[in-house]
Amino acid sequence: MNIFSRGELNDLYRYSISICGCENIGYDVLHTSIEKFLVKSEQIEIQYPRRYIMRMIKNEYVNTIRSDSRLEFSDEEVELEVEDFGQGLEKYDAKVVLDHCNSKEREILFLWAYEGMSYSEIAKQLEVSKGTILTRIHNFKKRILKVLNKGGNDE
Amino acid sequence: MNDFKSKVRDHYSSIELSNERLEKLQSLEGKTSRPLFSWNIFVTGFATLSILFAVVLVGFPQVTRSLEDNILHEVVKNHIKNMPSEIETSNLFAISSKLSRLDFAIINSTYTSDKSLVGARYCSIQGVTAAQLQYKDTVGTRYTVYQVPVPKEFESRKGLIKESDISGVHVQIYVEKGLLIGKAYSLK
Repeated sequence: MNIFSRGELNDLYRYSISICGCENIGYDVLHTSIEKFLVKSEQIEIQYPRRYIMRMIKNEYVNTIRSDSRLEFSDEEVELEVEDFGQGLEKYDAKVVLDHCNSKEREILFLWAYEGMSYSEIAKQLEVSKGTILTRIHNFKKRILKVLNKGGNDE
Repeated sequence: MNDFKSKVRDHYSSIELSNERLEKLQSLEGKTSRPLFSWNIFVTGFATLSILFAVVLVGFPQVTRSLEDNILHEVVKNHIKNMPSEIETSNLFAISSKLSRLDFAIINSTYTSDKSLVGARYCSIQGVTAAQLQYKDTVGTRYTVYQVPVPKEFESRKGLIKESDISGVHVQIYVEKGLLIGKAYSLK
């Protein structure tokens, strides 16, 4: 019996693509992560396999790429109201928006939209505070709306 | 239902592994099964025991230092090294943008608000990637400030954790806005 079902493998593949931004790199990162996960799972008992391998995928991507050449989150944390992530983006195609995202932004979008996580759950998954997630979403929306309204040039 | 949310979900749902790739991933499980005896494990175990023995024999006083003291000593060691800044600017935002590998936002600490920022570089504290900021005060004294995410051991702490004079350097560590900050300057 396999540790991950076909459905779970597809979910992990989608998560990997959300981080890597490309199907081929996403597959390579997933492949390496599963190999490492299987070795690790024989050494220690992994309580939450899904969460564990998601973290492995992210680490594997960071190790592979090391730094993201696109915009990074950087602003200091500010107090924010909980806002609706999708508000203002309804008229845009998902792929167009994702093409303008960096790795961290795509990851949050994936966890929010595909995994259906709340902001608190995303914060827990990414091991940051809920305030950091809200700041990231706020900054992301501010930037992406500016870029999309200008016609897609984020330079 | 949030329309954009469903668009993103539909976008990802439309992506699927090909049968060939799926089978390849599923077949990994059989390939990575661990042999009963592995030379790697034996060699790693032996090396670990040897290092532990050497540490206990030679470096026991260092091992028994608290985490606070380890960090204080590491901050002092880094301060004395006086490595040149990779980015020379007084703009905190510019530094934050350049040090993009950091997984946290650099803050303007209240403990350094009366000093002028002159530059920054990457560094590490206890093996974690940190920001090393250089400050100067009005009389030209050089201050080295390290910012790093708060280790689990200090999560419940706030403000000054410990300060000390080590090897002619005054050093403080404190927690502020979710970061552990180390500040050091040479005593006259």
